[in-house]
Amino acid sequence: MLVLPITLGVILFICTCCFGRAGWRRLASLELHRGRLVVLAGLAQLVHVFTGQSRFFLLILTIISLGIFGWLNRQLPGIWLVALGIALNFAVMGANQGAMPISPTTLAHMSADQVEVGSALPLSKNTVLDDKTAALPWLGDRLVMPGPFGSAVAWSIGDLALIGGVSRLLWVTMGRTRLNHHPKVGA
Amino acid sequence: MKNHTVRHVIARCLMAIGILLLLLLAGGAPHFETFDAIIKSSLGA
Repeated sequence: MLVLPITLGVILFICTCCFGRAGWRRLASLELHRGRLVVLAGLAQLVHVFTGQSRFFLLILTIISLGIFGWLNRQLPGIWLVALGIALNFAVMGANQGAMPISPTTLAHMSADQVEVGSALPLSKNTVLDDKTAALPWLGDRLVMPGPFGSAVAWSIGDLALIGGVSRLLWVTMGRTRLNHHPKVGA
Repeated sequence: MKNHTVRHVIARCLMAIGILLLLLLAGGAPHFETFDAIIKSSLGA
């Protein structure tokens, strides 16, 4: 489960190179309101991945939790891009019974083994669906990185928007020249 | 006093990073890498 920590680590490394220790002091001043909602949503997704049960209910719970969190923190830079990414991901998952579709073609780039269309990949939110079977297939996990990391993980357009939003939030927060006062919302 | 401030900064940074990491996780970003191992285990099941 290293892909997300590594991704975030790379973003933080770039920000550290650009802004130094002062950037970390500014990061400490970042106020994320109702962060517990994100913890709840994260736990819901982990239950979803590990059990594969109650997918739709967990999806709804995640959407509500993240929606409230996004609304309460809407003034932060990049949050709108995060919200767009989440909306795109959950739109395609909602249209495919709570699972993220991954095409057999994309899977072939990542593994030499053939997996039957319609199979749910264990320990994953993915189900193998071809473009004729999947709803909104172009929003599914179909982007792979070039080179030796291509077989590691597949991304969706929503993932790119999500990471872009988090990147912007970190870049603006750590790179601020003065502390901006964010009025407490919903405290 | 200075150690307290440093600890406070570290704690706040870790909290922010933790929340952002969970935000990526909950938002649908890929959880697990190396699909190869996952596929092999599903074929072997």
